[in-house]
Amino acid sequence: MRIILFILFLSLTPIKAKAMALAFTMGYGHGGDSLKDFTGGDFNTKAGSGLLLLGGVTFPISPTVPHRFEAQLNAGFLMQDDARKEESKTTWARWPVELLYYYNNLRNQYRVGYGVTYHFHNRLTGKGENASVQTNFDNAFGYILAAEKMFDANIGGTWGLGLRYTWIDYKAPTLTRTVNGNALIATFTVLTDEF
Amino acid sequence: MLSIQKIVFLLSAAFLLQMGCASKGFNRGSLKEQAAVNKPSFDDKEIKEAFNKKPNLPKPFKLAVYFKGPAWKNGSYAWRWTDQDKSSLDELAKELKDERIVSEVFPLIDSIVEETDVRSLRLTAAKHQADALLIVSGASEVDRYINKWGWSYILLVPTLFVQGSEADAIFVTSASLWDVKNGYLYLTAESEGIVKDKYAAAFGKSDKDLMNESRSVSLNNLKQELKKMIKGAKP
Repeated sequence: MRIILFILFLSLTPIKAKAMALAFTMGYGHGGDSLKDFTGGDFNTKAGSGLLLLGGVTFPISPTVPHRFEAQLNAGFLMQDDARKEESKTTWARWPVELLYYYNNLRNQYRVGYGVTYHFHNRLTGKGENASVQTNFDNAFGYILAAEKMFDANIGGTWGLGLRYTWIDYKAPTLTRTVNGNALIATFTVLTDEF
Repeated sequence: MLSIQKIVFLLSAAFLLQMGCASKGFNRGSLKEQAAVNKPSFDDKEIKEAFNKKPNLPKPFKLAVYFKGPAWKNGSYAWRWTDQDKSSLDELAKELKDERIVSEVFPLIDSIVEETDVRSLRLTAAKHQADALLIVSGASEVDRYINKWGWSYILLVPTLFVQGSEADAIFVTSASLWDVKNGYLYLTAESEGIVKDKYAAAFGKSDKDLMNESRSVSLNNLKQELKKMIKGAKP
């Protein structure tokens, strides 16, 4: 079912690809299980937490005014360090690829959307006394719900402040339990003018 | 923490609160400005000169026709005059020739036109020994909006088959007939062509297709208008 949903999203993406805009998102998330409860070690990182950096494209599915529907394809990096002690630093890194579908109200300048995300290369690494926490998690599939208040940028395009919630679980062959990576993420997004 | 049901309820309520999905309408003022070939002048001397101009056409007269294209915008032209558009006035030209109102009708092609203001076009027409110059220009706008079924697009899949999107395209064509020698304005005519389309979001016609269709309607209307006016203004 998840794969069908993902393919459906992807099959719709080229429809109005003539009017794309670039999208850049930066955010910080918090939430999920504490990783040390699964891996041991002395660090404080939650599975959903981290700094989010995404780049992508947005394109209209229904380029109607003022009620517009658009899709956004993003790829980037999600990372959380625990560097309280440099010699035993841990890093929780993921590479998300996501496809979001937005309702964009151009009159009142906000957009709300939902979508899917796929996290690759989900790795927890540590050094020093935390070297044993190293875990390679399987790729994970999740869902996103997002809302943003948009503003016009003086130099063209728009920018927005938003919140998103991600539902995702991580599994690793070395762990007996699933790690809850759900997170609430505050985001800052910049959309260029369409080209 | 909010449950999924509560989140869905809140989102649905937000959508319902700002329902209302009519067309925003066309800005005809802006379209007419785009289709204009001459900026208005408020200089007293120029007004007096224009007033003193007299009709000066021989019978029959040689007519040059110029189709003025749209301005270059965002790296492309929103539309363009096609050969079919240009030849749509052939029938009118033939009729005017049969009635010996005009002796010859020929186009001014873009490659020999340097500037597209009336003065420069009159000069180009003069080089072709034309007595009168007909300038045809146009402007277009497409308004896309959703109808009440468009709200189903929230579920994404309906964008493939629900006809919840609508597009209205307008094309305003304007024509003016000038005396090449003294700049006397014999007539102006204007017409509109409006085309409506209802479609599933994923498969709608492009802006260019809609503009082409509305341009064709508008040109057809203009032809009828011009026929009446040129016969009325015949020398």
